[in-house]
Amino acid sequence: MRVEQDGSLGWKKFWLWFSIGSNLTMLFMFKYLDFALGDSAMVRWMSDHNATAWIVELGKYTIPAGISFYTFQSISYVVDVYRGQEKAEHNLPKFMLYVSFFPQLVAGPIERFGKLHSQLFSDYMPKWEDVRNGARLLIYGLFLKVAVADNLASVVDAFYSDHTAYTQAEAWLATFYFTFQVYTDFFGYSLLAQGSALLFGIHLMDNFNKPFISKSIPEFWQRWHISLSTWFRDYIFIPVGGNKRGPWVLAMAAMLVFFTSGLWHGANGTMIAFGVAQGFLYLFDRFVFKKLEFVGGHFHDHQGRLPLRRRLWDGFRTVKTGFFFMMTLVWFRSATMDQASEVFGMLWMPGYIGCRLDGLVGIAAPTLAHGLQIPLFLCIFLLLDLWLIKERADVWLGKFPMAIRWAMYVLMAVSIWIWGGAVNHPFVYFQF
Amino acid sequence: MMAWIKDIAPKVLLRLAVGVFVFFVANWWYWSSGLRNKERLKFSPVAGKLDSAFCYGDVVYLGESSNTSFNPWTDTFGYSVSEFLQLYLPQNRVRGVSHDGYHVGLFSQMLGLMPEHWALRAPGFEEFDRGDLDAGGEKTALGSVKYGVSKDNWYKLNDSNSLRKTVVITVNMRSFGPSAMFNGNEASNQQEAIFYSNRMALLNRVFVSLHHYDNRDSREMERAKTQWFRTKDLRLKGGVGNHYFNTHADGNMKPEGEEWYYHNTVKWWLRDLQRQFAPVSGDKDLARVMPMAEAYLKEFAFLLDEENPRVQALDAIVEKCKRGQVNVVFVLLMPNFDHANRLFGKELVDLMNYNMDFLRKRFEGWSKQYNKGEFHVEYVDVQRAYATDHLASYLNGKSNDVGVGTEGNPSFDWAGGQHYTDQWYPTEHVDAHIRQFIAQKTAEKILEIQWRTRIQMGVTKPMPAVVKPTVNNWPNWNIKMPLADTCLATWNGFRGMHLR
Repeated sequence: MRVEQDGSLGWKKFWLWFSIGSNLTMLFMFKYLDFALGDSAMVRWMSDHNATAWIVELGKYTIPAGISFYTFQSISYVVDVYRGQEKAEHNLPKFMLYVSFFPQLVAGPIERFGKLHSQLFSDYMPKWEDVRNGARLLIYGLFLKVAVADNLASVVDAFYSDHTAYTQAEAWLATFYFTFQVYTDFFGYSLLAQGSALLFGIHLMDNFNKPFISKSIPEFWQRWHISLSTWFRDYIFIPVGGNKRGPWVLAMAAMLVFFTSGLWHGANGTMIAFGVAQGFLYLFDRFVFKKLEFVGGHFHDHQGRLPLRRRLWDGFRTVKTGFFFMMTLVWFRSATMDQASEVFGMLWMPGYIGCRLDGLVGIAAPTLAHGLQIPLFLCIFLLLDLWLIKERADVWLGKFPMAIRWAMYVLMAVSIWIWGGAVNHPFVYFQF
Repeated sequence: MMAWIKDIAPKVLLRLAVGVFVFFVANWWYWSSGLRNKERLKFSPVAGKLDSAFCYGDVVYLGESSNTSFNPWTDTFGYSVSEFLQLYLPQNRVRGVSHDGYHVGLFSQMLGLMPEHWALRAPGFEEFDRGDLDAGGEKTALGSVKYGVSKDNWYKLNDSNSLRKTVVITVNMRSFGPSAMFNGNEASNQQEAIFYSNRMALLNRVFVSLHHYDNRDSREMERAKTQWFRTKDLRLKGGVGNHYFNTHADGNMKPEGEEWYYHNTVKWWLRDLQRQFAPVSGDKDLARVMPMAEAYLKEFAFLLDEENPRVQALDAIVEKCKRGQVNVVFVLLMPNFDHANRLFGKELVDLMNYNMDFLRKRFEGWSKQYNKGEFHVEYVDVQRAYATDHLASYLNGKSNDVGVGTEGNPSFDWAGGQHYTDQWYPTEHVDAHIRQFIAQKTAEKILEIQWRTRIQMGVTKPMPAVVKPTVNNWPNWNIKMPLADTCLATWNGFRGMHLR
């Protein structure tokens, strides 16, 4: 309110930075303090002095669920008010509802104030279409999480719990599976959030849009975790210069965004490495790979169709983008930098060559039927996501005749009931 | 609003009804295809053993790792407690179901598979209904298993005389503490426990898929444990202090109101220990003992109260057994007091004694309340029984089997640490000598109940020990873990010098 009401620009700025600072301080205290201090002499000193030891304890043990998400949501609100794009909310409970709206509280999507607030306090009553579409999103989201992601997780977890016990082929399998585990896990959660909000007539933004058909890393980030990407675009990338001030500023802004993104994902070296690697790949695609566009030839032939050469080139770019992203996820999944280095070594060094898969598959999926179930669900998802579903799942499902639609519901429900992953794997993004 | 509800409600209800119908059909398929049996075996092998135990057993012994704590390096006789128990109770069919890391909370859930009217049911009946191919069941036309035992066998079993059933529950005081309660394996135990219920088969599987149980992962458990260590007060004060003052006070204790205990919480105790250890951390013997010392604090430094979920589970067990009119015998296991005393002396031993007393009082209450009629609750206090038994042997010069008390004097309050097969971690894993002793005392209690209700056959008084291990099978008293004594001797020096 101060940001909106204070007359002078100086005070407005003060209140803006005060608000951002207090939000980030809370985030820092809970999430990054332990990482920042490490096992320094300061920590030892603090733990020897009872009066201040609680700060260390706070950093170690108590992380409120979803703090990364609602901190960003609060910051976007303050900045939007400062920019005059939104009016300040004078009613505290209403503001708290915006920040803590349950479907997206713990893992997003990070909604903007303007869009969510107007829906929360309108007189709109959910229509039957909302309830129906919400239920469709819920069942599809649950299918992705329970039948696809959790089953993949059993293999990935087995590998990362003791990666040295496995072969090179198994390292590749685990890396490949983790790519789709994290995707289906987070995409599933986003659909569940959208679906449950839709039951109340609230439309949340789409968080994913087929990221694995992207031809470049910049495009990938326009399709992956869209609410976070657009947040970084609007509140960091553009304010620090964006792409209007030449290549050096763009490069710096991009690296800042990806570094911050890595740090946002987690307070440890592996997440920062993940973010920085994404930044380099972004710049590589933007400045280097773009110059190779001529290899793909023309965009249209004389009949207006996409030429074969262009299709092959686009296919290659798509595979390349997915592959690079998959590689960076090794940092994302590894517990430590040492583990990440060893897994990279296993993936690429000739000393690790080995084709056996039975160790990993045997542990994660003790029976053959169970072992086949994992790739089967993954293939079904890839088929749906890459080729069949061209729009959001609820709209796509709605196009089928009732019998086919219900057959799909039953198949999804039975998959969840009977073949859902048995080991508990919390949503990957809950930790953020 | 009403119009809105009228518009939406019928559509929602119709779809819910279809969903429920589909669920029932899927459940039928899940069961009849045999998938249910396979999955039950995969997710909860214990559930199958329980079915069998409830089917064929007169006495069902629910135990944790202490039941089968045979260690080939330190023990010479491999019988479990329940196997010893069978030898002591030849006229009863004893069935033991054990699982590492189990506790009374899970035992309480396991009783969910106790068949209705089991108390006087003929053995085999339940299995006949339930179906188990391994037990000789017959396949139906649909491929599922209908009968668990062949009809002829069941009739034979049915002809045998049936005793009132008894459930034996092992109670491990350590499992009431934070380290056991917030164990990283608890989530998988809880997942197994979903199957300790006779609800719809597919519903069990759905609960597994949706992780509908206490599914906190090891990190969350660690956090909860740390929280406990930081916040739970270890000082015995007020009513608790009075109780203790009256029963155990000696010259070293201070009057009520002052701090009798140096460490308010486990966290401070651990921190103190680490701080004292830091300057002498180069000592190899001490470095070997430190992990064990920390483990003893984490496992035993807590105070029991009525809010403890495991205490509430004890109440639930009695309630369930009372409902089914099934006798219950609690076996209060004996923690390794000897090592706890060597490591931390009175300060830790007092806490352990307080917790043991807390449980004893509870059991004694039930034992008095339910000592008449058809339903009985009894308990075996292994520590007290052992102490009484061996004091006599010691005084007669037949045994030097004692623990170490304060100032190095022999203690008759507990068994010597050499009886424990784990020398480097606090467990209740005892050697064959004490396993046999536990079985003997348990058998005596069961026979006492059966004598009281006059349903036992052919035996009119508690049986004497019938198990006489050959010479080779006697526990080997001389085996001690390498360096155990030298390490502990060094530790004693350290304790005297550095710990307050």
